[in-house]
Amino acid sequence: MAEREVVSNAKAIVLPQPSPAALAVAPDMAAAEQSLREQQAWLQNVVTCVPDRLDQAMARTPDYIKQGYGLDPESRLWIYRGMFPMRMVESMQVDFPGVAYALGPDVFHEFVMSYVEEHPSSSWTLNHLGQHFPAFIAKSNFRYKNFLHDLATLELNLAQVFDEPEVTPLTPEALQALPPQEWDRLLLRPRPTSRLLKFAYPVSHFLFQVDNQLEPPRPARNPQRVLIMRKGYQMNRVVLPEAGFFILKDLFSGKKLAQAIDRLVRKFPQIGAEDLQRWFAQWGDWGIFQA
Amino acid sequence: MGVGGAPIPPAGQKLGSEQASVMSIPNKWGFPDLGFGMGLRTVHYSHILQNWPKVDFFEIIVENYMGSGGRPIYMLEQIAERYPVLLHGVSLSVGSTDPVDFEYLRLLKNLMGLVKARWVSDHLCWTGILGRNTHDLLPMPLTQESFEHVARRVKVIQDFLEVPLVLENPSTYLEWAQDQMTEWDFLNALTAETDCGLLLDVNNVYVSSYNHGFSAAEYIEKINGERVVYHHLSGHTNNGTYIVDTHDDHVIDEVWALYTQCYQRIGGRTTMVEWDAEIPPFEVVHAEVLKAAQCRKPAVSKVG
Repeated sequence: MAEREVVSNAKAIVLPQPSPAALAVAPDMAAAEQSLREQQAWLQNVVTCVPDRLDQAMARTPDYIKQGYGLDPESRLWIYRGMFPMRMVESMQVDFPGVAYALGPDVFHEFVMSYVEEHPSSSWTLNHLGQHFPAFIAKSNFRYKNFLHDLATLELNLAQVFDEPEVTPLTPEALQALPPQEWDRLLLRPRPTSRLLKFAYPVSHFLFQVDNQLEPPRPARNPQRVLIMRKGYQMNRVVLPEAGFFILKDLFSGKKLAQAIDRLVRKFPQIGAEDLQRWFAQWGDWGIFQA
Repeated sequence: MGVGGAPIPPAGQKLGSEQASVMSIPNKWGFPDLGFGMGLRTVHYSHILQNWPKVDFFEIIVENYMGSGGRPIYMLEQIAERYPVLLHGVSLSVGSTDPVDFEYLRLLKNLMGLVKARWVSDHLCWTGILGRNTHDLLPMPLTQESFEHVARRVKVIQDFLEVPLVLENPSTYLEWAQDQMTEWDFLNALTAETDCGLLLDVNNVYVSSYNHGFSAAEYIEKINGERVVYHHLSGHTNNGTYIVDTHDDHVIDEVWALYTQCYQRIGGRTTMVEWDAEIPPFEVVHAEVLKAAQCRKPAVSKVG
């Protein structure tokens, strides 16, 4: 059967865009719609509410749930209620394996459920669930909350870069060929998949250890500057020297190449032309700038 | 011809192509029986790209690809060059009393263009209201009011997507006290009213029948075969007093028997195997796909 025939047979295809009228509730339907909405609000509350509020929510179970075959209504509700935290914690565990390791499974579970209570998913995708997690950690009472905040920030950025759009990189050859006389007005823009982050703790190393199932060190303050990048759809990150971070930060924030180099050599006079040449060759190879 | 004119898999003959024709109810749109496929899962990417296995199609969970510009889309583009790709969603929330999420639909429509989808499937359920998303497939009350609400939204969604929406019967663990009809009556009426299709998940029929005490065979007997576009098969977890639809095991014999019943009654329909948790090596899931193809053979001999 030809594809086009099938599409044209679908009689519902009338409007290219949704019309407001199509979404409006008919007057005689409004009460029924409201009743359905109340049912849904009740079930959602039973499934997601904190334990303190469960008894109150469950009190209306006989009004809503059929008393029938096999399991009693409360047990049936508990199937849904039991799956909800599993789904939330599993999703956060995927995006924040380092934080999960640092907190341990029980504390992580409890903390994630507190987080979800304050920042429930409002999106069709769970990929956005963790976007407030670093800030939530910063408000916590954890002894190592500054370390955990850094770690969560790194992990959130890694998760976000994973889904960023692919943009053609500036090749090492093209980077090498940039004529010095144009450096005064040359902007090197980062690809959406390149991010610079500065931490008070060596969280990249911590995460490496966790990812490789090695015992990570106890958190101790030691600044770490990290470049996250994606090359060939593979996620990578490197720890940068202070000077390298300094010039990349200038470039990523929109400073012209000549100005960025000038600022670098004034702050780090020990950096020579060979260092710069080596760095830019490496950055070109990593494809961190846009073509 | 695959979905949207995508090429037939390169490995040769379709998995179900050796079967003889049987008396069957054609689906309303004339969608072809694409054969036997499986869910595309990240753990199998490298096996697929290295071996280009003999699978008639892959089905993707659309939310894993929508809005991503990274590896998921890159992998999908490679696989869609060689196999038909079916789109299956879990976040449409067709039954929610919140407004329809048109940003979601816009992203879904973009993805449909990428794989030239001729239909898109999701579930008869709602996932959240009041701006929240539980990311669960919560059951709809089976009432006249609920029916009218869902039907109105299905029409809006189909108008926007410009292809038929194919709704799957969900696994459910509770029934509403207000229910006025069976799930199969609800779905039959809904497909007739809105011209949408039905994804008849045979395992879900079994799971819900076990949990609520109705006859799975009667469900399949009563469903309008003309509206069935395709089937899902999967494993589940039986906890004794109830079953959870975990998609983490082999399809059980009772479900295979129901699938055979579907084939005998409705005829050949595109069929895919879901395995979403504790995912085994590709060959294990593929063996289930081949088993689905085998299920049609006894029916052929009976008809022949």
